[in-house]
Amino acid sequence: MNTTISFKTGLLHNFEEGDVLTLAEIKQECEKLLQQVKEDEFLYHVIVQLPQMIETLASVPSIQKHGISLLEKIISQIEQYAQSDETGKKKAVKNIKRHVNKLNDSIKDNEVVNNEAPQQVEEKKGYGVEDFDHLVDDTKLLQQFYNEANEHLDSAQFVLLELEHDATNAELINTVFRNFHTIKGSSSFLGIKNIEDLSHALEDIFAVIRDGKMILARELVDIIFYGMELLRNILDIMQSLQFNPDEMKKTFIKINIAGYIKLIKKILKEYQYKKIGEILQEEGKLTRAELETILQKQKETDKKFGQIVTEERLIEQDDLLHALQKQQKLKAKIKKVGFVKVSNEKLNSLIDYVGELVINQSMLKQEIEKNRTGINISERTLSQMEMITKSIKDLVLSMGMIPIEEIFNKLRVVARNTAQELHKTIFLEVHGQETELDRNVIETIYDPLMHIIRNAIDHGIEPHQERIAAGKDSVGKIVLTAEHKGSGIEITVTDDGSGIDSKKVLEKAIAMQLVKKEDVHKLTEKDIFNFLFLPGFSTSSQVTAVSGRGVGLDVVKKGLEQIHGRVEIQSEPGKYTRFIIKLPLTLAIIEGFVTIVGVNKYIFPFNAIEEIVVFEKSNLQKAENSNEAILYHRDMHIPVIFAGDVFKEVAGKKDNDRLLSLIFSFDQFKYCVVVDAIIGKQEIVVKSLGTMFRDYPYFSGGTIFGDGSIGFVVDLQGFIEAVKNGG
Amino acid sequence: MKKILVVDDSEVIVEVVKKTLQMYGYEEILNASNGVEALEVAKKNKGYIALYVFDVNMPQMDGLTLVKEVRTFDTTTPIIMLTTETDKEKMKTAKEHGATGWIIKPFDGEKFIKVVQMYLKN
Repeated sequence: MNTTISFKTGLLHNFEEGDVLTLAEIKQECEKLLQQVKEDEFLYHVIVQLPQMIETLASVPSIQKHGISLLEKIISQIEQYAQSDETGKKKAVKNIKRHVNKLNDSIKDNEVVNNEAPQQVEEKKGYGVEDFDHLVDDTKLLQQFYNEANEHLDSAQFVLLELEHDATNAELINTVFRNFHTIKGSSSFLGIKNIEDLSHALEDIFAVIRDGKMILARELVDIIFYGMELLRNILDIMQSLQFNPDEMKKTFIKINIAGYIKLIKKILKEYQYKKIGEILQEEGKLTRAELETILQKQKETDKKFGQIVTEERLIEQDDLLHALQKQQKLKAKIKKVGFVKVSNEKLNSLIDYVGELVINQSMLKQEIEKNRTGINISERTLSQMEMITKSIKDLVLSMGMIPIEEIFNKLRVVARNTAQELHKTIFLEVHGQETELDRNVIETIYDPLMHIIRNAIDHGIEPHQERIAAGKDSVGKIVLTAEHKGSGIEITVTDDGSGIDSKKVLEKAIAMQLVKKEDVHKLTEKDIFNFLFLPGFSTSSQVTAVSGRGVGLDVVKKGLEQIHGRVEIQSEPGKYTRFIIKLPLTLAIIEGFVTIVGVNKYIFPFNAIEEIVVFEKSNLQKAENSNEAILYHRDMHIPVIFAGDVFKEVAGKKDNDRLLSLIFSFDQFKYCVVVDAIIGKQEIVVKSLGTMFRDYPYFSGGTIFGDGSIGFVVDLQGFIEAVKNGG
Repeated sequence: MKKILVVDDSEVIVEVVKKTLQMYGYEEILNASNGVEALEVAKKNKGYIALYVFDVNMPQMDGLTLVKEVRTFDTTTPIIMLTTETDKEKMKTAKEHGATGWIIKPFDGEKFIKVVQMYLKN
């Protein structure tokens, strides 16, 4: 499609600064141009911004020349665009966008200057209909803005997370500044006043940080994230109202963001580091012109500000002193949360050493209690040392802890993108993002959670029409939570979608011969849903690009088991599906179940143990095709593994008639592991075994007990694989 | 509603400008015939004026001084100067004093309104 473009370019050539008549004519030309390009979505989107930009230019003479020369370039590129073929158009689009952004920036930068002038703006309580008078009546444009704004928010979010560790990185700060700047710019053009004000406030923060007048402290990041959440909520509301401007107006006046904006203003006012000249100017002791002269002199002479001011007799000594004091006070108010970067490696060895310290401390305690050292140490000293050791341990472990927020934020992006891919509308609610857990756990947990969320959007949340037909809210809801439970953490993902029909799962399980028909009554709901975690098990009838080939859930389970986690499903057809994930807080200390096999101690992961069974040796059966021993227990045939054989403990007590065993559930199968004796559940500090034990894949580490004896921590997956390979 | 202050020593010009503005729905118009009078009106209506339109050559206090004076208490409201082809040098001074722009006399009413509309969105 070719569009004909006409524009009185002569107006641009002959324009002179302050010539408002010509400027008004240029604006009129832009408006005419807009009518000409109505059919072309891209051009329309660009040109619709121009009249308002010129209005802004009209109030700032000093940038008019520059602005008009940019406009000249834009117009000539638009002409080129209109005449080009597809490839030419693409090139022109790039240029147009670049120049429009440039124009936008130079205008906005000057607006900031303008805002410094005293203005009589009464404080806003809330928004009225009149605030949205300029709301553009164009659903398509609003939709476009929605997408664009979300992209910028995603970018800002990613960058902010990086800034948390690298708070002074100028490039990153600038990126976030630009993100909010663009959102502010486009929302103001579309008349979305509340978004404009919010993004303006956020932009202001980053302008101040960029200028080095404030530090991006942790607390501030929280506040910024909160503001971004507000922005996202408004955007989501726009979407749920299908970008209908009238509906938007009605809803917008009910949203109150004044409190937040006030908070930002307060922060900017109170915590900003001010230059001494700024304070003096604010108090009316210096005029702007005087200030500029001084700053110029400062550049030329290398003298201090105070020196010049006094030499020039511009202000009283007292005033200068007063301003200096005020500056000091402000300085003290800016909270500096310093960070020291420590390599993961160092942190891990610190954790390792602390583990050893804990062990040593309890060894020492035992020895002293038995009075083997011959030294008399008072009870108090001993318990004090114990306390200090524990504090150090807790502190060091907490150093490796980070809030789960980082992952949750990434998941938000995943959820949004997935929903868009599938043309579904979802709302992701998040609770407990401040919950902290081990950095190593966090790294592993992202993939499984991503799978679950993508699954939930793909299979859980029904298509729009279906939801409405079922009497549900057309917007699907996914709730993501994290909280501390016992010595671990529990993460849940709940969608309010179609749920999982346990009957269907069961049918499939029977068809796949995973369970016999006559055994069905023994299965609990949990058992049935557990089938879903088997490789190749999927009840979805369709295969989509996102998920649904039966891969996914088994990967989820495997991933979680690596970090000693467990997962289960709860669901009610037509209502919801919930994934519950239980994880240990840290990998350095696990809940272990200590056993004795032969002459050594072996530690099994406690959360994998289902029960402890003692049975007569005569109860053992032989499997049909092999020498494998089988235990018939609770109506199930369970393979029996003699731990002593696997660990090559020659001194085992296999000849006992009564056998002591642990029943494990792993990968949907049960195993009966025979051990010699049981010591019990203990917190185990897992230590690396080093390369000497490379050939023993069934150990994930070792530990030292309080009495100085050592133990081996069994990796269940490696253990079972070793059994399979050996037999 | 915010007001527009029109200052010119020629009553005809003030009338023409006023009529044009009223034709396009701008009802609240203040006027003065020299700088001293204008300054008084401007101070009295501080915060309620949305646009200033000043002539350059006036008795008692000329437009250039008037701009400088107004800018001491109002730094943001746009000031448009009405000028003639030969006043180029004076325009430079006006700009330095804080004028926002200029219109060369004589001008056509419709074009003038476009300028006003550019500054007064509501």
